[in-house]
Amino acid sequence: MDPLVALTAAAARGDQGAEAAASAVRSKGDAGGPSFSDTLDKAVESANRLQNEADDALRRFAAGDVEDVHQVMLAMNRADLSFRMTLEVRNKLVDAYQEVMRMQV
Amino acid sequence: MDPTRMFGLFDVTGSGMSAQRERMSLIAQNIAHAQDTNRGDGLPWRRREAVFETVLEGEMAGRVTLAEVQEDFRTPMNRVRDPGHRDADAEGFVTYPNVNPIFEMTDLLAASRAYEANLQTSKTFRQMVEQALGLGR
Repeated sequence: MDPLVALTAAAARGDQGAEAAASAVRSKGDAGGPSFSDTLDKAVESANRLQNEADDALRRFAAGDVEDVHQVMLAMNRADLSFRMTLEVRNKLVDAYQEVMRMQV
Repeated sequence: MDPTRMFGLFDVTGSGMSAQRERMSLIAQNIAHAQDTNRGDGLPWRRREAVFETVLEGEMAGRVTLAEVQEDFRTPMNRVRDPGHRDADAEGFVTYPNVNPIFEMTDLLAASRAYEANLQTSKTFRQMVEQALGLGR
């Protein structure tokens, strides 16, 4: 299963923090720059693309179409690192949301 | 986030490893054909070596690639007298390839070490990124 899909699914299921945080950042940022939500979208998109590339490389490897084993491993490295980076950003976001929710009013 | 810029280093090390793999396959051919007196066109096998070149990508000198496979005309062929041989010439000499197994093994070692060096660069880069990701925690 695509880990990014899994992440989104997990957020939709139980993790209300992630869900609310995601909807909170969906509103446009001010000052005309790209909103945080757009930036995050792009990051997820490129991480997803790298996952697909790694998937592709792995499939070709399994089919015996690959002569360079290291290219498969490098594709997996790329996908892993960019996914983990996106995950870190997401974790930070949820942390920030929970911090705000803990605020006394 | 542009992953091609972020992980461009993997492309560079990957191309280095691919280049060394190509070189290694040429060495393997040379060793396999060391006694080959007819490569199909009536001539004996001639030692082959890899020539590499840079792939220019804008300002950054990026990947390395196999430019061409060059035949070795510097090393003389081995001529052995063997009149009964199928590929012997009019004077009874057979021309054997100019492949020196010692030279090939040394080259093989160099190729393997160069591959390892590229691999190590990838590993170190990966560790660097992992450590940087640890900053978030």
